[in-house]
Amino acid sequence: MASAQDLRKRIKSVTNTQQITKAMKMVASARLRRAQGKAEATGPYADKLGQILRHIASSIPENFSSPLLEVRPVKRTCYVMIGADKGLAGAFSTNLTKFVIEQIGTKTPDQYDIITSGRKPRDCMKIRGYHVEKHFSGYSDKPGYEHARALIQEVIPRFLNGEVDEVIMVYTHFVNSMTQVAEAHQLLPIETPQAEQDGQDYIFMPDVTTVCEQILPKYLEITMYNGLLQSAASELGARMTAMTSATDNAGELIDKVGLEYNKLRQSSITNEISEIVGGANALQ
Amino acid sequence: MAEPMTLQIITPDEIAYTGEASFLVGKAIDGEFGILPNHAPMIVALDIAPLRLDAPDGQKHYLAVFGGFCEIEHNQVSIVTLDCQLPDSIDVDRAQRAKQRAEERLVSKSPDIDVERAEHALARALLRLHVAKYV
Repeated sequence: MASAQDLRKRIKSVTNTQQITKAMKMVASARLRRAQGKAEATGPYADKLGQILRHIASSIPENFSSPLLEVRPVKRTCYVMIGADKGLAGAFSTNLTKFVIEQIGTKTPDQYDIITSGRKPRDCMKIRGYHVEKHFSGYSDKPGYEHARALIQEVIPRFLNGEVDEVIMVYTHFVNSMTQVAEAHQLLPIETPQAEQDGQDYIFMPDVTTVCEQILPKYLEITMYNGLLQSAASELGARMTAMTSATDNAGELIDKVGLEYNKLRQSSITNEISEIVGGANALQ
Repeated sequence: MAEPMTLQIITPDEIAYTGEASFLVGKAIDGEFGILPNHAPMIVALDIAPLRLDAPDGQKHYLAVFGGFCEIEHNQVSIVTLDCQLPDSIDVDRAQRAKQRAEERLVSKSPDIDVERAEHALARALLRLHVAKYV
């Protein structure tokens, strides 16, 4: 049985923890709002770029082929894992890692490469004995366009010189602050865009192949940027949910220990009184 | 006069500009081009260059557009670019410093310098300085 002093200490320490988790929850929810806004703001850019790409697709000459569109038999796959730099976000990193391991399945180590963005996925994969080829970190909750570009510039040469035949981005899609789903998206080879026929013939400057060659890397970059922003919003959402339940749990624990402490205090007072009464009676 | 065209400039982080224009001059990667209202559908790959925009009231505006693409359809012009700056939001001192830095890099010609990157930085700095004159 714990003494009253122990219980007092316990209550104090849980209260401190609760204050910290509460503060983390506030920070995460404030940042989440900003991250969500940013993730939505890339929508128009991505939509327009996709639309232009579809318009181009209908005018691409038969013999044109960009090395970025080339479909080869897949001997080696490159996985780009987008995760968090920090923990305390519930099952966020675990879900992502599990999903990647599921994707890798029975592949032998010479059939895949792993590139990670964020400290947690790297650590998780290393602990499980996977080799991480390349690592980026330090921006997981506030990614910029330049980070997406750095990642793309890392994977494009690998694909072009035949080191890998497929590049898959694994990120966490943000549904809402309670739900985030790990998803895989094929970056390379770029899936040949569906031609959109709206009966218009476009003029191209300087010409269709140049425009196409220019637009494909941009399209990759924005896809990656969108992945980074989705993942950032998911991370903050997961952290907010985790910290909310941690705060609630701490509250419950404080109530429970408080009750125990009060019971103990009361019984010791009752004890003392009955001792005094007993002593007084003995003197009479 | 023909109805002015609507112009929208979209960057990854925001819609940087929306407005109407009666004349546009931009620079494609192979040279300058001008657009009047009711142009045929066209897709242009843009260079790092200033974009001149004549508002329907005759005022000329200059914007710094850092590459990207321009699509014209149904009298609507959409420019998708990584970055677009208005003259009054340009930090001239910073652009000046960037220009100096890039020039020094290009002159020094040491092997550990990424020439392409330095040239790009120089082009961006020159564009900023050029556009900043039209405040």
